[in-house]
Amino acid sequence: VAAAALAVLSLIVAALAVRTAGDVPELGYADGTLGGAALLVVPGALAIAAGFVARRRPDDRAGLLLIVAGLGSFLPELATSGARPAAAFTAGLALAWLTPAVVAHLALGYPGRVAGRVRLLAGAGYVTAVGLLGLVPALAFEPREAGCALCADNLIGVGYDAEWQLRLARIGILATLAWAIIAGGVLLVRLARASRALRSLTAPVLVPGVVLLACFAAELALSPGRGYLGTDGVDGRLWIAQQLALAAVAGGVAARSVRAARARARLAADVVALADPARPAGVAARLGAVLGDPSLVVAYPVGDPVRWVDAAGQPVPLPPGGGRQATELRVADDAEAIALAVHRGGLLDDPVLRYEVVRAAGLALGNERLRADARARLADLRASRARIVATGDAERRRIERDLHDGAQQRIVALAIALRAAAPADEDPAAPLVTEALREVGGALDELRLIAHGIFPAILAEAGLAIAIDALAESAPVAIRLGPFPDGRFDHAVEAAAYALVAECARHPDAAALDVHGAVDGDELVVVVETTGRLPPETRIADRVGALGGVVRHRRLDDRAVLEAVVPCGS
Amino acid sequence: VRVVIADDEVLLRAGVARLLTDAGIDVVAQAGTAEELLQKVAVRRPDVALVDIRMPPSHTDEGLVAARRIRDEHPATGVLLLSHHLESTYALRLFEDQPAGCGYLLKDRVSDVAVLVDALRRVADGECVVDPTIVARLMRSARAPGPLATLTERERDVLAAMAEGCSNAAIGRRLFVSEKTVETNIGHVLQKLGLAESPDANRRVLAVLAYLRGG
Repeated sequence: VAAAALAVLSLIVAALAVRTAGDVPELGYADGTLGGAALLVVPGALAIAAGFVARRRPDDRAGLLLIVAGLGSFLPELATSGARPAAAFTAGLALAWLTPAVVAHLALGYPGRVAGRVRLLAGAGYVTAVGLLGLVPALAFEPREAGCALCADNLIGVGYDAEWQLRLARIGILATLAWAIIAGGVLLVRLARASRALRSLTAPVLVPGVVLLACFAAELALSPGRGYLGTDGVDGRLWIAQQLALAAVAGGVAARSVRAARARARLAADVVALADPARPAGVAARLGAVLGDPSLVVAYPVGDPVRWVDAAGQPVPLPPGGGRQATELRVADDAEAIALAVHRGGLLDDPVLRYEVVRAAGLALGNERLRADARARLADLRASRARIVATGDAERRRIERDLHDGAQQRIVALAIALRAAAPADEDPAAPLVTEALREVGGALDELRLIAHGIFPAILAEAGLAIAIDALAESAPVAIRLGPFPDGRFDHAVEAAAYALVAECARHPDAAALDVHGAVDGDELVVVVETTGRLPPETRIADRVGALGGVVRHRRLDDRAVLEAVVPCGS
Repeated sequence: VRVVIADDEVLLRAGVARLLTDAGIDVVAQAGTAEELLQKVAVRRPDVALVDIRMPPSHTDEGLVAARRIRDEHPATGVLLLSHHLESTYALRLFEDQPAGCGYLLKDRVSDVAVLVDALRRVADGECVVDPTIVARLMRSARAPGPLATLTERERDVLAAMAEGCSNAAIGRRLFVSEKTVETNIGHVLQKLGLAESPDANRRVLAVLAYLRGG
């Protein structure tokens, strides 16, 4: 409704301005020709149109400002003597210089909103150009008393004093001039300091904005002596330049909207393909292709406290190094980020582009975020499983050592003491001591067996191949060790592979085992073959699964084959 | 026989030293770490170093490493390694280059002074000693190859004695037969197993152990 009202108001004002220009061509900016009318109306119309296009993004401030700037561009014509009716003339007097203030406001905040001290500067534009330059002198202006017989009534005039009017007008002109110079300077500094990427985004709006302000300032600089802004000669040409600059600003904003819309269209075209679970980095790859940054990474928030992971659930290092930048993608400004794009600097500085990206890829992003979340949780679970197994192994190893270095040493010392204290053979206590020594020997044998069962020390000391070879010495079934990598692996990997073979050898229905292994890329493959039976998969799959590996059973003629693939990171 | 004892457990070390001294062995020094052992061996030049396989800092195979260094640097000093491990792998790692003057006994044996003294004397004489429990375990092993089954009871005993490092004379004494008979038996055993004859009893140990391990 507000937009429709603005549109209607714009039409009315534009029509009034054109009529004024037609009625009194010699007094206004535009002459009575068609070219003059076009010059008067087209830039404002373009600005309003571009504003409405930009407004499709609901929270875009540039769109609203552009519409107001377009509307404002019709007003100077109404501040001239031939303007009718009185309301239009009055509005023209008060608001003639609205457009430079609005354009400055837009440019100062571009591509987002004005914030901080720049807000004060944007506000000062309205105070000077509208308040001091337009409204205040208008209050002290009575057209008839000032000698303008042609003029309509000034509806807001409260009195007239020629000297006061001139003085107020001069104050307005000088104050507005000072503001325009400062605002233009700030914009120039901002352009100079911006990164290349940001400059390529803002220049199409900031450069014409600066030109507009410069022309406005030049016009003001011509005017303190006479106390009003003229319409002829140099003034007229400066006005033409301002109109063209406004059209350029409108073009800059529109180009941005078009670019963002095109990106959205390209993204939206394969939003269905993006949901394909078989392509874990689908959204990132597609976004990278559309935005022109193939190395773009999308990170999703998971867990509490939040960690950032990619689509595969792997952690993404933040903040990114190497001049790369992380931009949060959110559905609305006050919503939580659904994803984080890690990209080359400046790529997503444009809030409009961000908005369009989220609009087009939001569903795919949300979808992929769920998958990333599931994958990250799975990875957490796997890590915790591996930790539990590792902790168990470490504990068993400690117990095994304690048994050897503590209990066993003491029992051996006890045996020595008994031996030293042994009485002569004829002593009646001698058989008792002999019996005690036999018991001690039995205890030591049992202790050794228990300790070995708890953890095979040879595995930690000599590695997998030798430990499996040693296992063959004591196993109830024959173990033939075929080709086997003799390098060392991570404790957990060695323990898992050893436990697998030991479990197979322990099986009550086991027959002779053929064991061989190989390193394939970064995976250790251990194969156990037998004509007998193998233990159920679940019993041995746990340790291997905890390391992210798999255990497979298959039959080869009359042989059962068990194959374990364990990631070994070498 | 002059002996250096290395064990990080003070009480045990002292107990063994007393037992050995009572049995007429000359205990010339004691050490608590591998480093101390190497120093004492260098200074005292004993006939045998009696070394626990587990010693600080990691309590894994420091003793084994020290034993190999002693064999390398002081060939005149034999090494008798005491271990908790039944796996023959450890023994083979000790004998790998040079079986003569090396022994591998289970730690429990230290209380059986007769066995310990016998082993020390044999190692001092340049023989090779393998713990009977380990040999028995290998003979029992399910992997033991087929030809073993064709051996007679007597031949099996001879084979075990060979694996333990006994010389022909020692085998004869153990089985109450003449050395001549032992030589005949050994010839049969080696022939049945397909092993080459070796006049050196110590080299023979390696071959027999490797055979029993299925290598």
